[in-house]
Amino acid sequence: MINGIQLKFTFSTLVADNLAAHQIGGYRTSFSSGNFCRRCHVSFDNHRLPSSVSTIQWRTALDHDRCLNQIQSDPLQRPVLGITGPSVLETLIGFHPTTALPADCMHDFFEGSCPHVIMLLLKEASAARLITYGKQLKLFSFFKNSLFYLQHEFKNASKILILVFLIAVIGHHQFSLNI
Amino acid sequence: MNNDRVPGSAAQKLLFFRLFPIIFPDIIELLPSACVYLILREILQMVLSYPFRKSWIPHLHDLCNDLQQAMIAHFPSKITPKIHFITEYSKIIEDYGPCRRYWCMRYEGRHAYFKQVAIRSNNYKNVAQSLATRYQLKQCIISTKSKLYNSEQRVVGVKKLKEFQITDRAKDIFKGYFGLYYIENKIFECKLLWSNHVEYHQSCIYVVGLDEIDERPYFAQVIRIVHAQKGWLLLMDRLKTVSYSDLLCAWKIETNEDLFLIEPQQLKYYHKGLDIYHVNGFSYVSLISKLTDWVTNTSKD
Repeated sequence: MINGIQLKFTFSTLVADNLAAHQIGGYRTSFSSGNFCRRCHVSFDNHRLPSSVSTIQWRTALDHDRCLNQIQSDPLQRPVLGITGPSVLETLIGFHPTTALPADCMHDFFEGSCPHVIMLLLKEASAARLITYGKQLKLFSFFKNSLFYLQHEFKNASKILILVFLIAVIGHHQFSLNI
Repeated sequence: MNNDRVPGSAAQKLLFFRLFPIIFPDIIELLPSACVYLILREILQMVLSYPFRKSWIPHLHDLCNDLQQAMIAHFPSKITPKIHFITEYSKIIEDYGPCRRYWCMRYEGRHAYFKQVAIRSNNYKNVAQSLATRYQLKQCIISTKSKLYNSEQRVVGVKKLKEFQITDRAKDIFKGYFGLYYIENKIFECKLLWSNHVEYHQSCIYVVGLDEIDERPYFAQVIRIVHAQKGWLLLMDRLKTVSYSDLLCAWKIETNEDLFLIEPQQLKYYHKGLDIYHVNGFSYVSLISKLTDWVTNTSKD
């Protein structure tokens, strides 16, 4: 009741990073073995296979409840298909671990795979002798510092500044290539 | 950099990811495994776009498949659960809608303030109370300034526009727009303008429209922000979108000295201010999300 008006609401989704979502949903909190995904039945052994994307078996509420029953009848057998037990928020109306925990794109992309891919590429470039690791390290710290500087001092850095900054970066880069 | 980690906040990582091909153009050009980056970039462009089109979902699904295949081809030993989570995004968007509507970015941004206060206040007895008090005081300051609810225009760095600073073309446009007023009075300019919660910055690039057929964005650069008679006006330079560079993941632009004056209210908001990057003598504008129109969106789906 707010100001005499009765509001009705229900919890539909809860966004969290992967570890927290798994804790809340009652899934296993290790991502390096077994069924590590809270949306599908992929297992760690075959998530590297090319067919694992096209033939994803999604988790459904029915399967989930069946697994929970199995855990209740035989608690020593858990985790069953990556489920360790009932969710903490099980009693909330409208909350079900299979549907209420969507992925968070900030943690999956910006904190997860984007830096991962960039590191892989930089290492490969370093192995292919396009750029040396020491220079790369220097360049990176230089970039990080200037990035920090740019973000905090000039929220919308003018074109000239960016230009000077890029010339500095590219010049440094060219220099490292010649050696 | 050490221990396979990129330091910095999420926004900094996103910026580094966006500028990666511009900083290292030769890595993208020479390395065969750079296609992993390009596929991931395309997925990210779709995932971050808001509004999102239903018709993109099959394409997104194919891209996710491609990413898995490319990772297997180039880095077979480096496939982690992170990559697996990415490959499910087509289904997630189909079920829950555009990802930007429920991401943790805003929560983490707000939470960062509390983390900083908790660390710096050296309080070991009642952290919750000091956090609550500090936050209440901060809220008081913000609401007395009432920046949040004030949709009026605010400006920074106002000064008189001197005669010699105006190019001939700009003069013609001013004369055409203001008429006699321009000859008799001085014109003021500013560096930064907030109008209806959108920030307009001098010399930044803004998206002013989309092509109806292929959704190619049209850009315009704010040359000056001027004030005469009624309100603040933007003097913009319409830029020509030449092509999209697949390797740099950026739009190549050219100026054709096509100046025009416009009220900020008449501009439709697509994206915040962008910067120009110069690579190999050409100018590029880099966008992280795919842009699409609301109106055509509803009519097509």
